[in-house]
This record gives sequence, structure tokens and C-alpha cells, in this order.
Amino acid sequence: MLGLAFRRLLHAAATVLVAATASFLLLHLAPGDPVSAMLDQPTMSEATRAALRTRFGFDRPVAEQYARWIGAALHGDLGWSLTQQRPVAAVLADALPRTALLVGTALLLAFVAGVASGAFAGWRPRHPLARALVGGAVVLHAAPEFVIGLALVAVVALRYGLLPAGGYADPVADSLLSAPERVADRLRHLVLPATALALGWTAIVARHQRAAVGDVARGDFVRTARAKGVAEGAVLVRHTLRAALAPTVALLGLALPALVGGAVVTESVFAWPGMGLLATQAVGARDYALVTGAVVVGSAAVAAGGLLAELLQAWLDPRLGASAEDGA
Amino acid sequence: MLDCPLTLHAPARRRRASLRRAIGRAVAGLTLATAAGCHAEPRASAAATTAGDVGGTVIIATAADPGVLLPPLAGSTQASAAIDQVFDRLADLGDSLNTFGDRGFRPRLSDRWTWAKDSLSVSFHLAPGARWHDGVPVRARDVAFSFALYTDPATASPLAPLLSNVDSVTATDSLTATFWYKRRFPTQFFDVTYNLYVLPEHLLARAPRDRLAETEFARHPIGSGRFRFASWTPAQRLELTADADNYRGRPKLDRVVWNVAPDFGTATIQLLAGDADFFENLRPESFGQTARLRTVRLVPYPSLDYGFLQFNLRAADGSARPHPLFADRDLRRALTLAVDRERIVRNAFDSLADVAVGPVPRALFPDWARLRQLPYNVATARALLDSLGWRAGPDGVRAKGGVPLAFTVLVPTSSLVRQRLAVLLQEQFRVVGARTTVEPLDLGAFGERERARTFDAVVGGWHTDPSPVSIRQTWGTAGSRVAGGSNFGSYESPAFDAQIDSALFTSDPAKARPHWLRAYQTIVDDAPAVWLFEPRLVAGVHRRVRVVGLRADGWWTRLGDWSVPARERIRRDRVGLR
Repeated sequence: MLGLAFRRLLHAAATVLVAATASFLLLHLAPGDPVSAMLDQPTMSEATRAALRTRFGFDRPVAEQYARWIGAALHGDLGWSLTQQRPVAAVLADALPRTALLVGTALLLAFVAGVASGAFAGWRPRHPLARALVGGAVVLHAAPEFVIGLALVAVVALRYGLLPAGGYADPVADSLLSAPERVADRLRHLVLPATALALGWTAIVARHQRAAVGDVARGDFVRTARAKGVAEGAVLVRHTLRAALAPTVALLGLALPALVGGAVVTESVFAWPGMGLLATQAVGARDYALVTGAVVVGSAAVAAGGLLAELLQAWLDPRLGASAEDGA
Repeated sequence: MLDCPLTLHAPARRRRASLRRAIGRAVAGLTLATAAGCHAEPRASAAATTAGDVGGTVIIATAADPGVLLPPLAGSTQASAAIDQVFDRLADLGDSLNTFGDRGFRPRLSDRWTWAKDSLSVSFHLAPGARWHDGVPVRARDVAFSFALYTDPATASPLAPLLSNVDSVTATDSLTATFWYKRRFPTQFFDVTYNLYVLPEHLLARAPRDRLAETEFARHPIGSGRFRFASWTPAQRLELTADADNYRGRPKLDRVVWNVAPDFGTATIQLLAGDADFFENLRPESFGQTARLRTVRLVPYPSLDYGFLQFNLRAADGSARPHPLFADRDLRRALTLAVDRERIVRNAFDSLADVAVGPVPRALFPDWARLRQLPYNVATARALLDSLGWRAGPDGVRAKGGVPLAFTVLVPTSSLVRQRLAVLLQEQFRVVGARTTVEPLDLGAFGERERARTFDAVVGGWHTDPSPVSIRQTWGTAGSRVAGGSNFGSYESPAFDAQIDSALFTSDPAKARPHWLRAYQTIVDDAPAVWLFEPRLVAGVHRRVRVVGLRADGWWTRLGDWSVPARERIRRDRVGLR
């Protein structure tokens, strides 16, 4: 188990390095630079532009810029954000918890709702509600996050005004609300983006869970449990669901990077000030340091999540850990 | 006080009909607003603000972060809007937008000014009651310090070139700052009032000039304006609160909050959902939805923008060789004649833009109707191309000496409108035998290609400030030959330059007008660009908010005089100053 964790850690570090290097090079090789994007004014003299490029080191060869950046990054300095005029680490430190909150909530929602609805659909496949759930899962699986997000905004926020259309908090909440009210306000703002992000994966989890429950339900031990007179609810929860849950947990490793990727779109639709929105805006403004920093932190978070899922799976099913140890 | 709202409340049966009505009303409102002198407001005063009519919070949706709140480094309109509330200029440009001499300017940080007899210096007498928000009095040495800060090369302020006509600034006494000019120039007063905000020396004197953006002041600016800086969470929200004891009078609002959205669409949604009270630039596609809301009204106001299809008169490889097509004036004129600008603009903007008349918005050029335009005339365009030797080939594309009449039009992917215009132009050029390829580019790459002059044609646009001086940079020979100049198409005309110089050096605006007319006529006749559109801006405003002074050079110029009537206040209006 320890060896597996170590190898996976090395693998994760290599992934982060490759992702950061690729993003750094792609940004620097594209035409234009941050000075052009920041201050495109007819009054700005070429001398001023040149002075700014020199100040930020954009006049140096790309290889030298990369060497400087990687050297600083290894010491924990991710550089200076030109769009936010503060250290990249500080910008990311603000944004990361919000993305973690959004993705974590979406993950929880997707798995709770997906497992529950999938289990029901697998357990009672002919029930009209189960059929509706299966149909709904197909639609939700096919719909992109931004479509779901815009639909939720249009109906829930604009049509009925039930929840805020976007943002992380009410702009004047700090002045108006007590601490518990402020938490409630944050949760109100969280509902729509987390739901938009979660629905697609709810469908995926539900379909897996439905299939797994269907398979397990036909197993001998389930029949034996019933024959022994165990109550139907207990057969489902204690026997069937427990056995059918392990393959679904494997989905965690896939869901996390997909949800982080989906968060980029969802955060833009809902103006949720997390890593995804930050990275999108930084790309537009050619904020090299911020984009690369976001890639480093984002890929590290994804790698860590994947590692966690893998370890969890190995813990649930020791055979997987053993085969990994064998180099399988 | 005049308020110029455009009320939209009739529910529409069909979205299209609703959209048309909304746009029609917006245009009508704009006309009425202009006719009624909507922007000619008396200046705010402490006397005008009594207890009871103050209070309220206005949340402004914005599609971009201010980025930086230091006046010498600010480049975005979002930053300008906030900076203009926190910091003070010496005087305010009047509603007439006159930039020649000091006519129409209103007192601000200086309550009066005195000219030297030779007009080579002007002394500003500061308002004695002016205080920085930390309580320290504003003094003349702050003005001298600010000038030094702006013009220090280490600061790298993009505004420094606009102050280059000033030799020095001295503090004659504690409340008198004198600007000494190198030469007399009609806009010399405008230059030092519009482009220079006064900064506190006692807080910035020790700040490293080349790292100003990294200072504590940059994150918590302290000014002397009618609003105080309260808080700023980058890319999320910026909050200002009223400076209750301000020497220019307390603002009527308690607070203004900028709610930063990632794009126009999300900012519009914030307004429609009631999460914001004001959005400066609603797009036509949002009008139908806005028209169905009882909480939001539309307030049109003029802009200082214009857009065009610019031809590159030099070879597209960035060299100084002439362009094989566009170096020919007659060819440019023929292509211009082939464009139905009215139809294109209606198609792209509906009623929310006028056809541009030249390299100047109407708000800055009273004689615009006297400019003779190249008319839309396909037959004449074809005949002219025939006479120039461009013959149609079997594929319908003209060619001459083996060179096809084909070129590429660059457009930035950030602008859907410009992309739409490029496609419409493509079709109209095809009709006369010219083949165009539209090449969308990300904004950074688009700007890079423009500056390197490696393009055939671009759909471009300029947002001008009220001073006409920048036209030398954007269309004059100076902007073509100097490295970093913004005359990307390299249009060079001695006649145009001479008329512009004459206009810029004539102090009397009335006497300058014929020069402006001749200059613009020269460039319109030479057709270095097809002048396409001049947008009309429409702000979305929550019904309870009374807005005043949405001026072409900045909707925020009278933000301190906006108000929310006590009986119409909602929960967020009752926060108070704390």
C-alpha cells in the first residue's frame, strides 16, 4: 500500500510538471504578450511598452523565462499576477477553497443522489419512477454543464427568483447579515452552480449503480438472504448495496478531474469566483503567471484526488492494491 | 435635476416585437435626452444634499475587474469609473465636452484658476477645505508630486505622453499649484485637468516608482473624492462608501458596489435577476427580456466610439513596401463604394448604432452632416474597378496582372459584432468581384498583427477621449512612422496632417472648425478605411435608482449625484454608512 502511494505520488508530480510546462510554453509561444493585453492604448509609447516588458522579463528568451519560473516555483513562488497585481499564490489561495467547496459539494450531491436513484432503479427496474429516472439520466448525461447551468439560471433565478443567478455571496451581505445568515447566504449562492455541476455525474453514477445493483440482486447470497426471511429493505441496504458500492467508488477517480474541468464552465456561467473562472479570465488577459499557477494547483488537486480515490478503492478491495504492488 | 429614463413596461406578445419596440424607445429616448439637455446638470453641492434625501446602495454590474486603482497606471473603463470617485482632478470637463481653452470646465479640487498673460502658465487655487480621506489637508505640493509621479519614466504611465507639454509644476504657496507649459496649445488646460488625478504625497513619496502596483496604497487607495475606498476583492467586488464630510458635498448615495461578472452575458443576468442595479452597456439581444421587466428601465446615452474596416496601405509582410492592392487610392474608393454601410450597420446593430462619418464620433464633431460621404453605388464601384484594369475571371474574382483582388480581413474573436460585420462585408465585396477571407484571432494575436502591420485589412475600432489630439496617433503620419504608433494602416497624407495641425493649434474652437472639416473630408475622400459604425450605448437601470449625467466620455461622471428616493428603498439601501 505504501509503495503504491509512493509510486502514485511520483506519477502525480510528473503529471503536474508536464501540465505546467505545457501551459507555460503554449502561452509564451502564442502571439501577443501580457503588456499588449493589459495596456492597449494609442497614447502608450513604444518606450513605455518596452520598459514594462523588461520589468516583467517578457523580453528574455522563453527558455530563460521558463528556467526562472520553474526555479522560483520550486521555492514556492508562483510569480506575480499582472491582472490582479498581487502574488499568484495569494490569488490562488483565495480561489482554491471556493472551487473545492463547489466541486466537493457537487461530488457529494452526485454520489448521494446517483447512488440512491441508481439503487432504486436497479432494485425495482419496472417501477414507473425507476423508468423515469433512467430516462432522465440519459438526458442529463448528454447535456453539457453550461446548458444545464443556463437552464437553471433562466428558470430558478430569472423566472421565479428563488435563488441568486450567480456570484459567491450577496454584494452587501457583509454589511447586512449576521454570521449564521452569511453562511446561509453562501449556501443559497452555492445551490445552483453545485447542482448544475453535479447533475451530469449524478446520471453517470446512477447508471453505474443501477447496473451494479441489478447484477448483485441476482446473486445467490441475496436470494439466500431473502430465503432466510431478511426484510426487503435490509436486503437492499445491508447486502446488495454494500456489495454494489465498490465499483461505484471507482468512479470517484474519474469524477474528480471531470468535475474540476466542468467547474471551469460552471464557474463562468454562475460567476463563481473559483479557480476555473480565474484561469479563464487569466488566459484572456495573457496573465502568464496566473494561468500557469492555476494549472499547477489545479492539476495537483486533481492528481491528489485521483490518488485518494485509488487508495480508497485499494482499501475497499485489497486485491486491487495487491495487483498494483505486483506491477499489474 | 433632470433624469432621463426610458421606461419599458409593456409586456410583449412576441419577443421580436418587444425587441423592436424596446430599441425604438431607446433611440427615441436618446433623441429626447439630447434635446432636453439631459446632461446639462447643475454641479453638486453640499447645500443640495439634505438629511433625508441621502442614502441607498447602488450595485453596478461590470464585465471586468478594475485591475488596478492607481490613477497613473489605470487603463480600463472599470478602473476609471472607480478612480474618478475616489480621486480628484483639478477641474472637471463640462457637459459640452469642450477641450479647447477652459470654457465649460467646472471647479473641482481647485475652486478657481488664474492664467499668466502669455498663457504659458496657469495657477490652480485649491479648495481650502479639501482633505485626503485620512484627514490630511490637500496641498499644492501634492499636485507637484502627482505630476512628477505621472511623468517619471520609472512609473511607466501610459498617460505620461499626454502631459509632455508641461515643463514643470511648482507649489507657489500651500494652496496654489502652477503649471508651466513648454508652448501654448489649445488643449493645454484639458491636458492637465483630464489626464491628471491628484495623489497624496505623504502616502506615496516613499513608494518605489517602478513597483507602485505592489504597494499597500494600490490595494487601499486614499483619495480626496466624494467616495472613500472601502474594500476590494479582486475579480469579485469593489465597494466605495460616501465621504460624509467631503468639501464638494456628501454624495447622495451611501455606497456604490461594483459586482464583477466574467462577461457581458453574466453581468446582464445580474441586472435582470435583481442582483445589480446598473449595467452600463446592455446588448440589443437583451432588450426584449429587459422590456418585460417592471424593475428595470433603459437609459440611452452617447458614446465616443467608432468602428471601421481599415486597409493596410503597406505590404502585409510588415515591410515599408506599398500594399499591392490598398496603396491605390482609387481601389480603396471603389471598395468603399461597394459597401452598403447603412444596411450593414442595421443588420449588426439594429437601431443601436449610426453609420460612422469618419474617424471621429459625432459628439465631438458638430459639422459631421457637412462631410461628403462616398455613397453606396455598386455600378460606380464596378466601373471604377474596370477602369483600373481589374477584370473579372471565370470564378467572378477580379484580377490584374496576375494579382487577384483578394485579401484577408482580421477580426478579434472577442467581438461578435465585428465578426458579423466582417461576414457582411465579405458578401458585399463579393458582389463587385473582390474575394475576402475572414480570419478571427484572439485579442492578443489580433493586436500583435495590427502593431506589426502584418495584415491586409482589419475590422477595428477606437474609443476616444474627448480631446481630438489622439487622431495624430491613430490616423496621422506621426502614428504611422513612429514605432509603437497606432496608425496601423499607415495612412499618410500631408494635407490631412496639415489640416489637423492647423485645427489643433487654433485656440478658438469656431476658427478651428473649418480645419477639422477639411481634415476629415480629406481622409474620407482618401478612404484608408470604410467608416462603419458609431454605437449608441444603453444602460440598464433599476427603476428605483435616479441616474444623472451619463456622459459620452464616462457614465460615472455624476455618480455622486445619483440617488434612491427614500420611499423606494429596498433592504440593501438601508445598510447605512456604518
